[in-house]
Amino acid sequence: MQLTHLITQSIVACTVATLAVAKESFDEELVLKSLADGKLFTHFQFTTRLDYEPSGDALFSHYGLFPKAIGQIIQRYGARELHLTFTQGRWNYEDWGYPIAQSAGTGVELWAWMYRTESIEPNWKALTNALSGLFCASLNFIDETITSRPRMSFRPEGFYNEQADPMHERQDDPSDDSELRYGSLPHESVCTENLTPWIKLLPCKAKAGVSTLLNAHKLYDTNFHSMAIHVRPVCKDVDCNQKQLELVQTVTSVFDPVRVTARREWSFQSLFDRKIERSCAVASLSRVLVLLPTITEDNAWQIFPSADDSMMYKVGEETRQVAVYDLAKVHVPFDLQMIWQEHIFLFPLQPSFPPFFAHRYFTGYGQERGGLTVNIVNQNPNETVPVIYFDSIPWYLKLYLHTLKVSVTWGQDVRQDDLIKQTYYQPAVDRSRPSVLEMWLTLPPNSVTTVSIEFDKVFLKYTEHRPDANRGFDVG
Amino acid sequence: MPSTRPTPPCLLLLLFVACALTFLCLPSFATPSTPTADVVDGFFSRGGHTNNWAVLVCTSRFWFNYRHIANTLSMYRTVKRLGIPDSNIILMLADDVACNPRNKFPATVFNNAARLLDLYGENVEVDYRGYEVTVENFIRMLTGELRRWVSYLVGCVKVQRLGTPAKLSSIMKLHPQTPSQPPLGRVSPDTPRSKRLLTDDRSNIFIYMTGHGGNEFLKFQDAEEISAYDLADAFEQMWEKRSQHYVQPDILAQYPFHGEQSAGGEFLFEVVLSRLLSLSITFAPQHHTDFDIGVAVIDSYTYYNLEFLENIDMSSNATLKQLVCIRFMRSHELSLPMKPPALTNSPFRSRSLIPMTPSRSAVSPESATTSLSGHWIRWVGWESGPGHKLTLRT
Amino acid sequence: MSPLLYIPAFAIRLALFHIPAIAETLASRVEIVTPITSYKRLTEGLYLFESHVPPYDGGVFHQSPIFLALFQLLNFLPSITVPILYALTDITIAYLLTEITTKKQAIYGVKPKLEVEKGAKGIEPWVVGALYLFNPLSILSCVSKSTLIFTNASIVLAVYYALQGEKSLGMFWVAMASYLSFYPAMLVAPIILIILNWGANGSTILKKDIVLHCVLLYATWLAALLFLSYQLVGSWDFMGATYGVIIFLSDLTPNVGLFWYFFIEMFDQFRPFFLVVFQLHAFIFAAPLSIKLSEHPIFVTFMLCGIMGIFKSYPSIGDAALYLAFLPIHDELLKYMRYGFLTANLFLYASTLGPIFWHLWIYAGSGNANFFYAITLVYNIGQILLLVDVMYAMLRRSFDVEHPESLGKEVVQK
Repeated sequence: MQLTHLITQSIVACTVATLAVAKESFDEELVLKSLADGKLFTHFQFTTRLDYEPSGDALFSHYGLFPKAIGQIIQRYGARELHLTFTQGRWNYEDWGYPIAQSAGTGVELWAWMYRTESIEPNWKALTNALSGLFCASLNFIDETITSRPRMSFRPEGFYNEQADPMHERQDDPSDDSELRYGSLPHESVCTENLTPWIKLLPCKAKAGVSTLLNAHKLYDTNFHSMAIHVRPVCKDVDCNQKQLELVQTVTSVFDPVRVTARREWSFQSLFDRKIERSCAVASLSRVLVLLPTITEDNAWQIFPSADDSMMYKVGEETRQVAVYDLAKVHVPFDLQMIWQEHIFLFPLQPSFPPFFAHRYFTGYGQERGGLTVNIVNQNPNETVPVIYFDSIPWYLKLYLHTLKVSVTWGQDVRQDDLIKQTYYQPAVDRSRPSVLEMWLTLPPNSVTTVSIEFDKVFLKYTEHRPDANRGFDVG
Repeated sequence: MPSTRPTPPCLLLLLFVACALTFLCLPSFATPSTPTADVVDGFFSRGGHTNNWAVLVCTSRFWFNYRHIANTLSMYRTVKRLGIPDSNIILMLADDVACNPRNKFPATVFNNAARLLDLYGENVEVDYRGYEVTVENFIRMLTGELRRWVSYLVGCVKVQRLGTPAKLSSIMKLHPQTPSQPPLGRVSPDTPRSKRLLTDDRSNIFIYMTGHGGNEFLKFQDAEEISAYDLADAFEQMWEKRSQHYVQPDILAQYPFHGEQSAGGEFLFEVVLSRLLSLSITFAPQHHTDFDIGVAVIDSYTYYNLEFLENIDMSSNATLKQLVCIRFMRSHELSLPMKPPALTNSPFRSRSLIPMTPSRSAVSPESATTSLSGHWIRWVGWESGPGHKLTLRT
Repeated sequence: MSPLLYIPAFAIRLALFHIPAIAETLASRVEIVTPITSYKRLTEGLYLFESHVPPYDGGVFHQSPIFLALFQLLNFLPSITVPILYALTDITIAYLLTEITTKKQAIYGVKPKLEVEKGAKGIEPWVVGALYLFNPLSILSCVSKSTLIFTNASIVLAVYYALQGEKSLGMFWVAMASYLSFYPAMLVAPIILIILNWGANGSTILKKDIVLHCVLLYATWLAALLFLSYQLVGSWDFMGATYGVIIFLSDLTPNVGLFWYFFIEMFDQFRPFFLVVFQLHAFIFAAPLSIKLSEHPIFVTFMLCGIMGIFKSYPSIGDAALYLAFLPIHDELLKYMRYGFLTANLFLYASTLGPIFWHLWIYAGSGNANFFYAITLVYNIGQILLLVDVMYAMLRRSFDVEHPESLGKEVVQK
């Protein structure tokens, strides 16, 4: 046992030494937060960074911590940035506030900034196919009938644009060398076969560190789960002398301990059916953060083991305390638990609305026509919020732009021309491309703005219906 | 002045005709004592195969077809356990039941009401899922890769796979005279490697298909069907393209009305067998239901298969004959009104029994007697020549 | 007589325009508007055009650019202008029909007739106009603001000017009709025949030259219209979006025609073949009819309008309104028609059950496409029966005029 341990440590030390030469780093974090309605929000984040030069043929020649599969795909298909999310469930903004990472809709969402070359379309197609093979998902269905190119909604998140104002006119955009491609499959299911290759991209896989907690049986039993991979170029320093490629892998999920025990207590064992047995040796930072509840009554809750370290975290006007556990220093096996001194959890009577959220739904009936309505709520009492609304409607819904109505249905009355600053609309072409509607709206404070548009449902050919035609089509 | 002696080309022609006549006049392969049977026996036992592949297809959608997905995953597990790696398995599942909202046990699939074994596990790799499981994709995957024999003046180069440009460039380095050719094959050039059937003429392939079907067809996802002829054509093409050594397709088709016979009480199954070595089409009902999950979890065919297969491992010497015997025994427990099939007009018999485990050669033709009791229909054919038709009456 | 006729018709139409429930319902019924004549799509195309989004880039707008120009101009006027325009167009068609009837009766007055017809007065011209104006099909088509009305007006104008002998105007209106709708191109033959037979009175130009002249005029006007459209929208996209959709049936919205059902269920590999067959079928009747009935070109126009109304890719009841308007002009044929009761019943039956089955299919979900398609087939059978009947009437009457002794007897071809 001692000998095995010694050998393992020496191997790890060698790896770390090699990595120091190749200039890679790996961080992992797990954030836990109790939500107002008794649920528990967990967020795993794994960040791998690799120094590189963005130009030149041999972008990567040596793969250490950075996964070869992702590096090869990005290099081969000319993707400057890549964002892929697998989500199931609906994020309940009214009760849960905002997630930590950028959220995405149900199903699979993929967008990428591709270098503008002659073969950008074949590259995009090949990229979706390669990712479909890697993640065992049918991403190859993202073809030109689903792909859209939004103009205003997405900004390159990589270097050059970190300080850019998203609302600015894109006059001399450094991303002139790349184009955005966006596609989403709302009906795609997410299961263990997607999680397994995702975990294999991590340096420590599922053997050490925070990633050991990723148990598919428990993860897919949650109210909401979202697994993402984001690749973008970043600057290592302020002057951007050294560029890095950053790979961020996140898993966000919302557990419901109240469903099982009627109480808010949780522990790693009860949530994930596992404990952290060992820490990931190649991680330069490996920690667990618990955003402590703001209830200050004595002994309402307790956390075991008590935190090594704590810090303060500011959210708006609120300051919350965060318990920090460094996995390199904790006593393994590490089972964190929080105990609540309550007999049974009482659901709060008032939902805690976040300052800004939206609700989208279909109107109308029958198979001939219908309407799409979005209610955007701005609860800020004093602020006018600028918002870009982006929607990609599939080609089998023919939108009528002249029926687009934007109005304030609750709150101060504002004319449509004052609400809409800019619109970008690309009509759909049957069987070729989806409609793209983007609007830059300024929402008055304390108001509900309603955007509505009518559409006709296209009569499809017999072969265009899905095998489960009775289910219909998922639209976003 | 024309010569009266026959010219050399004529001699060759005469020789060829003589050989052909001799060959055709040989007695049938039925007699075990002929040297031909030994040749055939020797064919099977000489081996020479280098890799094994498995194609596992579940063609049914919807929650109540849980058992079909369980069947396929049971076979997947067995095949993986007995040595075929994920890279050599193509798994096609038409629906996702593990993470289906109706599944009481998320991310699990069970094939037994006792729920002792989770088939989904941690390491499942589904290559084609959901709407991708179509007849077109299936046939393209089977017949997709093109192999070629290329010979040059400087020597013979056997090109195993011409599917990817990388391979072509490596060949070009060896033989600069090679004309540049675009990648060939029926699958899209963007298809990832995990979705391609990269077999060659030294591969054994195990094909397992489960779903609903009937006489000469199998239904894919409620929208389309694959007919026996399409399947036979696909196998023929695979042989033409030298992409298989021999194939044992194992097709489990569910009769919509369990146990009842088709109209007329008699059905014909004709399959064009050219290079097909063994084909079993089995009609079997569901086995049992798990009342917590709420649907049937396994079909009887697969259940009995697993009963046998779970007890062997990679080092086993078990043969297919033993597997079939187990099936025969079990089938008596099910009293089904189907009459036992009588193999008429079957000049095919095999005497060689090859072990089942992939370490030797995968599955093999086995002994098929003229009267099979039970409701399994199993018959065997081999290289008797292209286009030979078999008629099976039951 | 005329004001007594036109004012109630105008009033009915305007009144119906101003009942929103009726006007909006009719504007969205598939039997009355089609993807290539829908006013809602025209509004969408106009909106896109004014917002500097190419109107033909998407899959919504499939109408001629000239409508964009026309309705953009009308936008500057009060909103009542559009209903008035539609109502006035209907009135114009009725007026032209009365004039055509007068002219036709004058021409046929000197031709040989049957005994019973001598001395009997033909149909009053205003009756023809009234039959068109108060035909429910034409009222519904007008109130739905379907742009088919302009095609119908162009066809009637072409016949009118051809009868007057105005070659240039006649060919212009045929060119306009075929520019708007594509299928009226087959009417070039009968219009030229009208000009040849009756239009060029006392002219010394050779017939051959007249025909050539007319064809050249047609080509020139058509080219001019297409070039004008190109200038309006700035590119040739409109060709694919208008004629491309008509020919290749890109939009499979159901209508009262035969095409949509076939092409919804057809496998892709057979589409080109069947498209050729179906489109050819619509055009194939032009030549035989023009050759056989070269003495009766107005009748040929009527028959071809009927053929168009059945076999074009996106027919509607407005097409039926047009040829039903031409029918009473040849009132001498009505006594020879044999299946009047059956045809009327078929029309009535289809009109009643069509909306019901549409509702069952699309809204109630308890029917399917077969219900609606069956009723449209009944409707088409009624139309075909009508055309066949009238054709028989024409042929029989021509025979009877030449062979008066065969009156009342059965005629058999040996």
